[in-house]
Amino acid sequence: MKGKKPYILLSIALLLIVLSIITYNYMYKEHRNIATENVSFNVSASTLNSDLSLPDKASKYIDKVVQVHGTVTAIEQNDVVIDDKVQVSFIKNVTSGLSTQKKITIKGRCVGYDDLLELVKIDQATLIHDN
Amino acid sequence: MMKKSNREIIMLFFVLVGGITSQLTAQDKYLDKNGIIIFEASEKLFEEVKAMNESATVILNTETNQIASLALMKGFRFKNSLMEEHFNENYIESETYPKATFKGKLIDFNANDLNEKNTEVSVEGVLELHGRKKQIDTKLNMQKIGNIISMTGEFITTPNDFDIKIPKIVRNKIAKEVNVKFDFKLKKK
Repeated sequence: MKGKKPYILLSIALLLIVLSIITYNYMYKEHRNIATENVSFNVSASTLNSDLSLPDKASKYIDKVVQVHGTVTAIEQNDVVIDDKVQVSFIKNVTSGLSTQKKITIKGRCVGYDDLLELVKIDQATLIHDN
Repeated sequence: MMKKSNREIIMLFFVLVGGITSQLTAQDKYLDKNGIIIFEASEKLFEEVKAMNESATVILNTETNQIASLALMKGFRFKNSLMEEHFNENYIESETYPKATFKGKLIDFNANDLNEKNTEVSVEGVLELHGRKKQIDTKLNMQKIGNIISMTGEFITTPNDFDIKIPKIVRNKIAKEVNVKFDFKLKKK
């Protein structure tokens, strides 16, 4: 009987370690990686804007990964505006290679609708292509 | 012949008036689409409770001195992703209340007096979030460099002001008072 004691202690210790790893991973789980997530919606900038302006339709896009295409109408620091309808914030600095009038496709997280500027906001974006 | 030239004059008049007024309104507005808002409710010895939004919208009308700002709740990013999730789902309920807005007015302010030196300006307005409204009066530090108006400031509020319930188990890890800081760079529109 006495010989079993170390094993019991050992298994309790192991169990505690496993539990704390699980808890730690739950509490400090990684942020989403929008760049590698699958695209949920592939739409034009104007479609996204008109859908987001309607509360009923907006909810299906919020926090989802969207792919948006259109023409660059403004560039500001690390942001571009597509068709005056969608404001895109990139993860990495890519705006230096872009210019207005360029057609682009981006992928990012749909943050929501800004009704002051009537603009959809997208963050954590990556450039899919420009031509 | 006479009629036609009359009509042309009238049309010219409208084009001119239209052009002038649109120019006037355009000149009076300053805009920031990437305003920074940081809030912090950290308690000593516990993990920091802090989030930043880098895409808040701010519009300042320098003719009426009215200011409007909007921040989407989903745009607030935390270091800890679980905290971000809880903030959105349990506390701020961003699906039901997706945004925070501030509508107010700068007091005794004249945009023409702004220069590169720091000027303190009072602002009074209403902050609305989580479906509740609260009067916020605070001071802004403003300066103007070229065509850009810089505006920074901070104020303190509480979750209670906006009817945000903090569960007992985390109550000692979240400060009673929330410090809100902002940093806006407004460009002439």
